[in-house]
Amino acid sequence: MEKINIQRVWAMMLRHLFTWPRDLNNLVDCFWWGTFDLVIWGMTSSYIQEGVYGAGLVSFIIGGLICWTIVSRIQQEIGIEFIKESWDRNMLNIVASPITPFEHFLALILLSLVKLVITIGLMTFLAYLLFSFNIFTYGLLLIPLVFNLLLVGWWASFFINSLIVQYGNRIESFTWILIWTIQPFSGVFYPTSSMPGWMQNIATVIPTSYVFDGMRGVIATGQLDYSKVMWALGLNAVYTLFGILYFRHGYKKALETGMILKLS
Amino acid sequence: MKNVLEVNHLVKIFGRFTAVDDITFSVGEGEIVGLLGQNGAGKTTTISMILGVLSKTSGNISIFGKQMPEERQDVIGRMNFSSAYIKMPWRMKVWEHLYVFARMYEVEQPMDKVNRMIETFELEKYRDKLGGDLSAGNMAKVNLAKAFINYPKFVLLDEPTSSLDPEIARSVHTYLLKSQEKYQTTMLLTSHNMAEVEELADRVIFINHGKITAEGTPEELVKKTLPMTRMRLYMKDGQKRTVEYCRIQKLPVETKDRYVEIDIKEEDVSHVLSDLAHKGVEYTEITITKPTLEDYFIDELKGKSS
Repeated sequence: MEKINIQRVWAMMLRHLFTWPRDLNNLVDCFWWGTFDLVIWGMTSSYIQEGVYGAGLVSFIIGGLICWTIVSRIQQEIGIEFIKESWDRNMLNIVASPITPFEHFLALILLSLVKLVITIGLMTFLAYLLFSFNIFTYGLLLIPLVFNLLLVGWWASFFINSLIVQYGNRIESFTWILIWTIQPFSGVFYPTSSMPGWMQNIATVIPTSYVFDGMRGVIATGQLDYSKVMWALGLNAVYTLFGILYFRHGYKKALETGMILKLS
Repeated sequence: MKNVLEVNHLVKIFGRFTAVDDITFSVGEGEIVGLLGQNGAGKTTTISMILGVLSKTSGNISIFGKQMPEERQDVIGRMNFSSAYIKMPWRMKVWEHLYVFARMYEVEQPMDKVNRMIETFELEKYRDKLGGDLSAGNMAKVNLAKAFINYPKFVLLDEPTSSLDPEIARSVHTYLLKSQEKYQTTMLLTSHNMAEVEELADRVIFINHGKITAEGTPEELVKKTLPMTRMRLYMKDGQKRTVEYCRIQKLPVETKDRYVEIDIKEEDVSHVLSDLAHKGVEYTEITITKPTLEDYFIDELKGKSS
């Protein structure tokens, strides 16, 4: 066996330790995922323990999972495809070309929809095959809910891409995790009514909480509570507007600080 | 000659650091202008502001008579750029990358243009190669092919040939000069290769610490600040007579072993050689070295030429 030189091992550890405090990605990895898993699965377990589902628990969880995939895939696809230009050192080619930031964004939105259709198609097929859960049973009632989920993915992308152009690659972890910060308050696997009071208060301003409660209502009763759709739509309209304004602000800031050049 | 680019009192400040400090210059139609300066002088910052990918702090940039960045969308399709610091996507084929930009710049018959650029930059062998499989030299050629994909009337080139071997760099120079001659393409280029700038640029602008310190044709700049040609003779007979002659004529002279080095105006060379011949001076070797832009550049950085 080769002799281990502890100096070299320490040097390599130092290489990472020096950059850890300056790299938000590491801090996120350390603190975020453990906390997130604990909250989500703790809440879901408590809900299961209550034993008051009104309909099939499997349908709730699989329906929630499929619908959450819509939000997370849309946001991540837009974020990752955007930051890929930086990884490929192609960003300057793009921003120096005639394509405007919003045309760039629109292209990414359309691409994310294509990928989403493939992903959701596969999930729907597998859910039917493995668990006899047919999401199409609920037909047109799901369309307003799905539309709201798409809006959430889009405005979240505006916020996240704005952060990336302002702060660069050091916060690229946000591309993966920021959307997940709203998941515990969205009631993906459990109803908002089973959350503690402080979480319910936050959930009132999270559009996905209305969507997932609405989805469970559709699964349980076959009826869609349109007031929930309208609440979600109203909140989404506000966040989309702020998302667009924040992206414009972020892009302007990036042009001022030169971060766009650094992303290249 | 109409101006394609006009820069007036341009300033860029990052926090407390002034990267570009009140510069004013213009570039005429069909002109190739070299922007020179050491690392951190403000060349790339200036080019970035002209491209509209960096905001100016104050001042004015006008391209084809349109204000940047306010009217950027009106002119950006007629411009393009290449930089040694950018690459193409790793998983994309060369022709795909060029095709994407041909579409982005709304080039008519984009595939034809892609094929022509691949041929022009001798990329036929690499047409179906992925970006990640290209050498630095071929990547630079792809960048240049992209820079000319839209028949631009104004091109910004940031160290365009820095990764190229001399043979390919020469073919790129030929292409750039042909493009200037045939299409009246205006170019603003930065380079650390002074011989390249001397060959390509009609005019040179020196930037130091964000300020323009000199401007003119390469010949003018070199002559203005370094007017002397160095003549080096390997003496067979008459070394002392030569030194004495130079002292009388007040010509700067140095001796090293059997060599005599005289700093002299280019137009006086024949006259001095004739005088030395009359004095019976014999030499077996003669070297005449003209100052170059590189000599000027080094002097400029040392603050001598100003």
